[in-house]
Amino acid sequence: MKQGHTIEQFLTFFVGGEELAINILRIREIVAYRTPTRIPGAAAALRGVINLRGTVVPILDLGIKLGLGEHPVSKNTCVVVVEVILDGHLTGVGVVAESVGQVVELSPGDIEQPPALGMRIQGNAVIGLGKLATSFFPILDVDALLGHGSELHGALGAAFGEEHARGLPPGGGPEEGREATPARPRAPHATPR
Amino acid sequence: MDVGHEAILRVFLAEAEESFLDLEEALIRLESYPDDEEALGTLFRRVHSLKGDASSLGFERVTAFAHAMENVLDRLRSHALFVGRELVTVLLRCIDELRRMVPAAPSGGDVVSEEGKALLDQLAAMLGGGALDLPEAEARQQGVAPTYRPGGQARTLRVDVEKLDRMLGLVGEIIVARNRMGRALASEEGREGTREGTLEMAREGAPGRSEMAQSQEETDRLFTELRSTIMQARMVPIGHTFRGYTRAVRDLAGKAGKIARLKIEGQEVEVDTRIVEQIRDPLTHMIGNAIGHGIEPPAARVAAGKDPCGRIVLRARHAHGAIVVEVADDGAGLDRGKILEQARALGLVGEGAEPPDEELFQCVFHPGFSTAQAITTSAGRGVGMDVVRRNVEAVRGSVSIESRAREGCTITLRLPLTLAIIEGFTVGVGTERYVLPLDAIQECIDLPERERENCERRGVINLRGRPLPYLRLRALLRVGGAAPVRESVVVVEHEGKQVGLVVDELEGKSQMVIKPLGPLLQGLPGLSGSTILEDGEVALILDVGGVCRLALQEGAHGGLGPHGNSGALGAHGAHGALGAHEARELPHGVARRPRMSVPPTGRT
Repeated sequence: MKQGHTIEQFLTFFVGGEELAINILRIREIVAYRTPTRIPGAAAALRGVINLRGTVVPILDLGIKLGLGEHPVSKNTCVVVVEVILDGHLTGVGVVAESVGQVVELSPGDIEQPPALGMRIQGNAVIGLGKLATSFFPILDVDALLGHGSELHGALGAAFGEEHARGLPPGGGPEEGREATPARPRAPHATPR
Repeated sequence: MDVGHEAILRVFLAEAEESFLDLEEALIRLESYPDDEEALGTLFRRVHSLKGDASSLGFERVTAFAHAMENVLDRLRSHALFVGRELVTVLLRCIDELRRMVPAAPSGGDVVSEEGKALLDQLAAMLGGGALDLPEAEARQQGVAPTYRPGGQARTLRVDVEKLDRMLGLVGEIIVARNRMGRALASEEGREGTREGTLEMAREGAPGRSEMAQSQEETDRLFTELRSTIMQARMVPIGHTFRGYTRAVRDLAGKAGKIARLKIEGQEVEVDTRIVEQIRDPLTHMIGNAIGHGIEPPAARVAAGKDPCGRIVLRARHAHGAIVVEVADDGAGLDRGKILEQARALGLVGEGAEPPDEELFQCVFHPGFSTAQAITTSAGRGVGMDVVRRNVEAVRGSVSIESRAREGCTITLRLPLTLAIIEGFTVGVGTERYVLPLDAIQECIDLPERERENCERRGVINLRGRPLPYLRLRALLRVGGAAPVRESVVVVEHEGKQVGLVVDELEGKSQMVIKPLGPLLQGLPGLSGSTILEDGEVALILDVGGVCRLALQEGAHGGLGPHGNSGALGAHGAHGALGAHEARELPHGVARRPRMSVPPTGRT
């Protein structure tokens, strides 16, 4: 709350036709989409990995992860590389976006708490609703989405080969994003940093 | 000034840790050989220089503590005191106290604990009653001049391993970029974008182009050299890790009412730092097991005609482009009876079956396997052996066990030289490419025509009269599309067993920089990492151990046809009971059994 009066910048992008936003400080770069190398046995929301200047970066499909539906790759499709701290290391994770929207500046007054009902995206992945002249867009909590405790982390192994599909923990599937209740230091509706 | 001071502190802490290891080693040696002047000299020198260093940094309490130890050592040197078990124990505990104090010293938290005070009293008692209250002035006087280490030492630098990793990654990237340029040059000539294309162009093309190609080759050579230089920088002698166990062996044995000493061989063998980190836990497990179960109590040893003091050997050596680390004890060996009993209880071995030792002992790698009757701090042989195998396989190594009743047990770890680079063999399946570690590959053959009609996931072919179970990677990895007319079989070996992996295409071998898959994707079975191919695409590196286990275990599920189940009910039943997840972890020896019952005739 100390930084409550600062204006912050957010990048908006489209997934499943929905305009989403991420704090620009968490975004490393935006690169053109290229077909990732598929990872057998990984959760469906993980499309695979790409080579980003020598680093292998996992590519996440938010459409599947957040249940917004899949979208064909077009010439506007791109990868938003987001920074998350995993196992103590700053790690880049790519998020597939149908297209990039705009950079918006919001003061704390422009951010509403997400309503309990009526949202296409369930659960704690949304930390607020950004207000623009005509519309609202959900602001995503990158740590809840990708960090420790999100069900993408660690629970992937079981889906390797057909007889192992049974080994998936119940409710651990990638589509059930709202099942995950990661322990997070902040309340989900806290003012963005 | 601040930065300089920080750096000095870091060096001090690192050197202190080194000193502690030396001290422990020397003390334990002295316990066995009280007349060893050299060990005594080392002890004295190390404590003295620790005291000097601490004093020059103004750590008075550490200085005083070390001084008290030095006094006792001085008496030992002048033969006014004699080395005994008790004295060694007290001095070892003094080292523990220093271990605790030294890291806290920079922040002023290096207070002597209650236990430390008791130790000081004990030291004083050894000196003949006089209290050991050191006038601090004395300590300071000794440390007026900062210790100066004479030259002649190699100039060294401590570097973060991650920096070296980054350097290695960059070299790999440069090679990818270089290859791209090579292809661009070649395609401009209207040739195919292969490396051969570049070379051919050099021969036929204009002089300018030939020069370009030449310098390309030149840089290639330089990059290879640069890469191996960085690789060497990552290597550390394994002795440092080994020496940490000298103390552990003595103390653990003491707690178990046994006597044991550690012998170290091959401590100069250099290993990749990452591998050293990964095998620390396995070594601890194995040494704990050797003491808890291998080494007999002294009386039993004497009765068996052995030295009452048990011997554990940690040995490292190079063998066939790999590093072999052995943990050997001269104890009673694995208890066949108990292992068989436990294996039957877990359903790993059928009732009435009497598998050979080699096969039976594989069971100890099964999760949850233990013959320990009581849970002790050193656990039971078998507890944690699954962890040992998992850790070793995580660094692309393998583990095997050899035991002789009454003579002892040797566990052998085979580890790659490095984790940074792999000699890889690229295979194509559909539109995807995967990398297999070359050292696991024995040969490549064509899939016999007969088997092409068999579009099953797996089958058995005749490899020079022996049955070779095979598995289609296309099915295992769920690659889409239909198989081509010609398929190839890559014969891989893992822990002495052969498995065929059916692929569409063999693309050849090359040196590759291994890229970890990162925390999000860690622990996927069958995958050990990834690499960036020459064209810049990411390819996954298959973990042969994991893939073989999948293949062999699937064989046990009756995938081999009507013969597959005969005589394998024990193993088969176990799978059903354990469920999919555990079944994946079944040791090979067991899962392999059904395959052995398949008649080799009539399958080719």
